[in-house]
Amino acid sequence: MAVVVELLSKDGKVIQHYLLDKSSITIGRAYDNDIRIEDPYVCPHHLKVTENEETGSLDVVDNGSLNGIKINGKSVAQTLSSFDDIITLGRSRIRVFKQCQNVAPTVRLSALEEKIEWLDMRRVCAFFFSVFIAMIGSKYYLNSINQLEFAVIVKIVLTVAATASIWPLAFALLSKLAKKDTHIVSQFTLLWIFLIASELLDYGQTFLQFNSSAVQSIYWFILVTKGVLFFAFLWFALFFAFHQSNGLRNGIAAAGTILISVYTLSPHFVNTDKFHQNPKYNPTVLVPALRFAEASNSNDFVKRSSNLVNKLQKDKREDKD
Amino acid sequence: MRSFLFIVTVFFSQTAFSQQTAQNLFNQYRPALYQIQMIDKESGNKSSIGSGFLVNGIGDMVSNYHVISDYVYFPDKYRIQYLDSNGNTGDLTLQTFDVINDLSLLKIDQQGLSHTSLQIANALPLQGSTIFSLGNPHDLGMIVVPGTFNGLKKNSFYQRIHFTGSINPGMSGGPAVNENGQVVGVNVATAGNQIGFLIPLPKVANLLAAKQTLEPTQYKAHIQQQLHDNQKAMIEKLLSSNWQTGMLGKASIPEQISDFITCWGGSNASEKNVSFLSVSNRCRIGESIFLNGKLQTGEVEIEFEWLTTEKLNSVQFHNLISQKIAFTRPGNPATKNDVTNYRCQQDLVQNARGMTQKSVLCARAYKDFEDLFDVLYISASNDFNQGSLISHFTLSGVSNESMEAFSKHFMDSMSWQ
Repeated sequence: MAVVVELLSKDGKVIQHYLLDKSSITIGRAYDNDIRIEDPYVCPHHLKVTENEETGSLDVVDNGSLNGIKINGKSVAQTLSSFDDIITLGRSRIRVFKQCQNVAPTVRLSALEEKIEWLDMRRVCAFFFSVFIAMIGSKYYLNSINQLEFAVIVKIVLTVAATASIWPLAFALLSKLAKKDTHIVSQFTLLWIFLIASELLDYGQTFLQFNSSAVQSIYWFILVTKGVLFFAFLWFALFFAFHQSNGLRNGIAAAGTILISVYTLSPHFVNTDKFHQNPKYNPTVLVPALRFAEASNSNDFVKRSSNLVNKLQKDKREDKD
Repeated sequence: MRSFLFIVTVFFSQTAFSQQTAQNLFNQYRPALYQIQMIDKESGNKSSIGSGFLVNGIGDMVSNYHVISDYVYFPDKYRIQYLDSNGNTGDLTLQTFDVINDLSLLKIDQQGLSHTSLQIANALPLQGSTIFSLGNPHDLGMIVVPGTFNGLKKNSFYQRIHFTGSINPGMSGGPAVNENGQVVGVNVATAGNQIGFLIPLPKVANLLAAKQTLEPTQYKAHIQQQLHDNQKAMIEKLLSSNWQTGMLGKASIPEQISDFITCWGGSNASEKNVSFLSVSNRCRIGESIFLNGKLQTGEVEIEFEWLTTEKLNSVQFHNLISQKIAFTRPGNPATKNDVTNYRCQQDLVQNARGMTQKSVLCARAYKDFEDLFDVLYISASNDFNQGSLISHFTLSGVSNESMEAFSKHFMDSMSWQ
């Protein structure tokens, strides 16, 4: 029979691994032990582990040590029931089990992980960061009607970037706590890509709404696209931070997306019959160069108002009910 | 010096004469004047007051529509009560009313009937003659205010008498009489300045001629009919008149569309530190039809603004334009009880004269009346990188047909020069 003894650190990580081809092993501070532990609280011949010939289990025998032994924190059990059982002697922790113990199946290397290794490159992260900064800066500049000072724009952009950075930092911290690789560069690159994409979607929405009369449909289309984008963002952030199963990751990402959706959509479904004194419409006007749709003529535009009147009649009927 | 004395003497004698006439008139016709009170049935207290006067010996009393509008809208909640010059009270019944000219015809019971009544004059007085406005302001008892008849108000669709003399709230519904004590108009209260407006006698005569007794269930239909006829006449008049065009920046716009719509120009040229130049032309009818305390209608507003810039680049300039057209208000006040929310449509539109615009047309429906809408339109032209014409109008209380006809006419009225 062969027995495996593992010396463990305080947080349960394996420090040393021994494979002994013996049916009985001794553990203590003296040099003649099979396993020697350099710990002042351990007796020279502290304990002995023997295989029970009838049951095949491993029994732990205390050789009348000063500080005694504990199995899984309790001093009662004398038989090891699982390979997970931790024996505490003095200030040291060990695990003893038979060599025939099975190990978990091999994890296949993730093709995805290899494909997105470039996200972990600093220069890639820096590139996307610069693109994001440029987009935000120019947006504020172009939206301003009063002359904006350069310093003001810099301040605004840095505030936006700093606020956004809370997200990857939080994920890095969580994965650190879970003793996983933080992938902090990947997390940041992912954030900038996500923000750039949602900015681009905003521009797309403005462009489409300027060129089309179906402003409501465009609004919903872009909103759904943004939901999908957010799901992907959350999925990858979880992928970098933790090694959870695909099912769990999909679940968390979906739950997060649903939460955000409920928050975004709630104004559309709550208080819908509220009275507004002023009309609501989309006032987007872009430069003539961005006008691609053919303008309708005023006659058709006015004729279309019969739809408006029909809808208002419907509103009136619903109001009476 | 002598001529000066002469003028002073004439002036004082005129004033003394007026006062004497006023005194006589007041004493003579006091019994024909009544205070009209709206009584909340629930509490038994009066919720508002106005004035009214008898026009014949069979108990027909004339007042304003707005004095009794609470009753028209909520006949179950209110009743109409009179208070005569001797302090007696009694009930009044509503016979008919005219929301367009703010008139109502009431009936007094036999008990409250006075022997005195006011006669309707045959014609309007000469411009400059003294007329007297009688009424009951602030619940202080009947008073008389002398003033001058200055003819019919110019540029008015509804025809009002221009009266220099202060008509206070509560005098509404009281008569304005000439020196012979004949009715030439009915008071409508103003904000308490020295100019008042009166409803002239032809409108009063029309009301009496169309005398009928409406049931409370007919009130809304009666209002609907009057609003429809009025908006039809007004929009037809607006569309048939020749729209005078003028230049605003690069655009030719209708500068004056009718004599009853008054326009003002404006610009930001005197402001410092602005990055764009704005010139505007704003027109309003300036009169509205009172339906109830929270709903007025009949407004017409037309506005044009030409914006141009040298300091802003074209993207910034178009952001400015987007902001400029982002918020528009209706021309008339209304609440949830009376109108639906606005619904809007928008598109890129090229008008018949080649101007491309981003146009928004919005409308809301009147809940109590069929086929009446408040309409609102705003557009920004999209033909130049650093110049744009913003066009805007609001119409209140118009039919679907009027909305379409006016919108079409308006949208095709602008062009580039």
